Amino acid sequence: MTAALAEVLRVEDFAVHYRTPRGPVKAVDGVTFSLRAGERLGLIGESGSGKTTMGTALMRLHRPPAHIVRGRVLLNGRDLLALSQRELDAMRLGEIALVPQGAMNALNPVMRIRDQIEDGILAHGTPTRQELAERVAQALARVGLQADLADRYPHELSGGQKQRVALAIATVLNPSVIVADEPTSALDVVVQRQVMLTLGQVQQGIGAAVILIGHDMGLIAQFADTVGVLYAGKLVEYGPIDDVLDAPRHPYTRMLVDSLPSLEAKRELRGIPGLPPPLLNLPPGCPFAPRCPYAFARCQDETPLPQVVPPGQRVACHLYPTHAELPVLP
Amino acid sequence: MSGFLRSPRWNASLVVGLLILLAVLLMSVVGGALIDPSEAIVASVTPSQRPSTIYPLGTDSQGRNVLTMLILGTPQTLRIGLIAGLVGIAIGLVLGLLAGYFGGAFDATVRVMSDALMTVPGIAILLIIAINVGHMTPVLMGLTVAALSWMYPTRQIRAQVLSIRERPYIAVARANGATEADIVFREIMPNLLPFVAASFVGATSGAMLASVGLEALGLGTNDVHTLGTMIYWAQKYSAVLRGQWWWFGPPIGMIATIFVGLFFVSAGVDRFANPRLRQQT
Amino acid sequence: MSALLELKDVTKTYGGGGLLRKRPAVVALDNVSFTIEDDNPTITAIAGESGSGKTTLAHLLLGHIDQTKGIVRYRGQELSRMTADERLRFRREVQPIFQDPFAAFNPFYRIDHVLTMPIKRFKLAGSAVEGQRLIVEALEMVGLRPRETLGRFPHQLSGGQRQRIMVARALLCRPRVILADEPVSMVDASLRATILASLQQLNRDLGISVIYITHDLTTAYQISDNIVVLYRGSVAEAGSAERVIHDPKHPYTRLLVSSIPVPDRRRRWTGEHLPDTEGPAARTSLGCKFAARCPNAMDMCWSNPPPPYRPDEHRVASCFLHRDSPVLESTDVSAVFMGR
Repeated sequence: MTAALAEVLRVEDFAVHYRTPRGPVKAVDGVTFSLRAGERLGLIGESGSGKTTMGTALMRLHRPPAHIVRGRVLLNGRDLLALSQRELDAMRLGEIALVPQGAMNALNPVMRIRDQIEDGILAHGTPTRQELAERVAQALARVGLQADLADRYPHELSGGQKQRVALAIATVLNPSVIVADEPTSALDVVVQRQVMLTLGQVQQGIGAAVILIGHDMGLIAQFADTVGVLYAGKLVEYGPIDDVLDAPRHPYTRMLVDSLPSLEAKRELRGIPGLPPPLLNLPPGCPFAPRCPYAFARCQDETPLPQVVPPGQRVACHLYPTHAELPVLP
Repeated sequence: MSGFLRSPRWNASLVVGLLILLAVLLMSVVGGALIDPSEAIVASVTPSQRPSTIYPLGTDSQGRNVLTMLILGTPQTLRIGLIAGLVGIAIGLVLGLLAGYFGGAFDATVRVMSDALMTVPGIAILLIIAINVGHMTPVLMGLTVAALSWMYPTRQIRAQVLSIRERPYIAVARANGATEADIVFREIMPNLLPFVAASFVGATSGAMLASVGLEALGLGTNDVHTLGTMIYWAQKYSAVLRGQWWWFGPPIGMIATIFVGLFFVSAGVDRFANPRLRQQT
Repeated sequence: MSALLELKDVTKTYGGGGLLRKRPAVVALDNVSFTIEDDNPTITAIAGESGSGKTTLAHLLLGHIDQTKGIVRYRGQELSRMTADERLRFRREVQPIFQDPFAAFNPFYRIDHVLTMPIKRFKLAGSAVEGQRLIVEALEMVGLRPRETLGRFPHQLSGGQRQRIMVARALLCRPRVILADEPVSMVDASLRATILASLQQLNRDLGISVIYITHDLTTAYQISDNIVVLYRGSVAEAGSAERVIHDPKHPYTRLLVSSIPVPDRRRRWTGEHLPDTEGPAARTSLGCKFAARCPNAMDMCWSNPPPPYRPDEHRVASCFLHRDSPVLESTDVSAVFMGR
């Protein structure tokens, strides 16, 4: 019972900047959240929101000119940002695994599937040949693939199969946290569902927590329990998916949800006017203020801090706590 | 223009290379005004003198001022390289563009020809041509060497054209009513310039080396000094055996300097032109 | 009711030849016919997954590639037999919008280049001043501010801005048909609605027919009058968008619609395990191409390909489930399309 509620990941005031000749680009600007075992978190953002940087930087897989400026990433109690390279390598795959964007293209084209799965296992231990073969078969079965796939090469597999292999490799050592960055971006909608269901099954099987990073609210709604909305490197809203979709508290979330086309009935298509702000030399105040229909004076001067708003969300918006919910738009 | 000069694509390699070549050019120009060309004629000065204040690089066994020959010869060698480089690039651009864009039999022919010639030992071809040229001049030497400098640019440019041809902006140009000429010259060609620049440096270097080789074998110009002919004369009159380092040393040193400069420029141009090769800041 | 752009029994096969050894032939498009009418500008969606043939269809309609069998006609004239003038008119009147808003621009030029060229080549304006006015008008029509976009290089603008410039470019040519190939799949969600809304506006206000090629059935439903669902080169189902999405008749369409992740608490993903996709049997089967994945497959599905049945007035479904319905007379699926 208690195991289900144990906190596996805690991210505190995480900030990642890119060094450029014209100053720092604040891709991730002070993000805080936590994950319990078995929880599914969806991080949604558009281009320029910082979501991809977050995915790689969490495990220190980012490359220069990105660099972590501040924060703590506590995985099972240990701060990933404070570990030595060797300790970090041991944690990776073993306790936290990344399924990167276009993972299926990250498979080595000249190695058999079996060898690629074994790579991960062998990096963290020395099983016998018998054990190794068993674990490979187990890893494939867990993602719904037949054991004989292990002897094939990546080009002999379909896109969905490759993605599931990538999942198998990521989860072969039963990590506590799986970070999936747009895992289905190049896949057909039918295969996408298959892969996401597989991810869910695997995750439940090993009791891991999942961070799903993406831009498809529908996908996140179908898969995640909790959602975090990223805008200009900040977490502007965070809470249970049902609450956020039913009653979005942040204006950006509200407009984002409103802009989603529906399958139920035809209606007028509405976008969000304006553009996301450039992350270089971001002006003070709320980053969404220029596009926000509710903006007032305070929004231009003061960056809003996250606060708890009923029923269960955390929102960074000056409308609260004065208002209980978003006022009706004209 | 100022935007071009301030572009962050300039890099150390390119700047160093250009400076070296600029120095070489300056030396030729300034030196050319200061020397007396008659001292480069046989028996014009005391022969076999070691370097001194009167003759900073000494004199050769034929009675010629080495420094004068160096200053006269360097721009000639550069000229040969440039002519060959330009001819090679011009041919490469035309053939590569047309073969890459139109494909078909023409493309097949160009490919077979350039591939075949690339595998034949260049020196053999050059020898045959050079032997048959009656009176060799720097321009003729440049053209001779150009016979071998067009293949690689052709292939390179053709490969680029094949890739660019499939880009969506070509389809957009078609949708905009572009004629075939529009597409080849206005859409594709401007995007080839970085590759042309890179190929040019390579072609020029190769051409210079080839010309020096031919000249060192005695097939160079008779009456005009070049760096290669200096080496030929030095070798012919046993300057090495006689220890007359001031005769064979300077031309070799100058060739080496030019090549170092070209090498740096080539590495730098690649990075200037191709953003993906640039260092992460 | 004259035909503007028509595809008649068009098949496109790739490969199959080869000097020394035969390469396997891939039938990208298999005997497809449909027509865009002149006097009835509608928005038609061609929906399908990768390998469905939708991209091939786009290339054929734009005249970029030649068909293996069948006829492609514009204003009654076969594309391959057009005179230079007819060809130029075709180019102007059938305009594309491509998927990648960055690759659609020649990086050497400012964005103005892509707007000034059609004016010159199609002689759309009598003077430079008038040309400039047309450009400004087009930009404003898609919601862009000329001062913020003209004179810039493509990399200085956002993906959404670039794609809108492409829409402006298309309408600048005063086309009759706009062929939009996944126009918003590489654009942010918040901007998709804006771009799609402008396509709808062009259709409504300027009478331009739009062919919207996509894998996203949700947006296809939202903006189209009719949808054609392609599966491995053949038409699985076609008809009014409303009915195809809400009452799909073909098992493949049903599979597609049920796989769409909806941002709704009412979960649609039921979790059934689908049979593993590409089996070798599916490729060599003589019958229905979908048989290997179909939950309703019957014996007859494996031996013969199903003809296009017409289960109701505005629907075509190539599936033996509807063998009691009449067969569509011609192969032209647009016969079941609904006008506006």
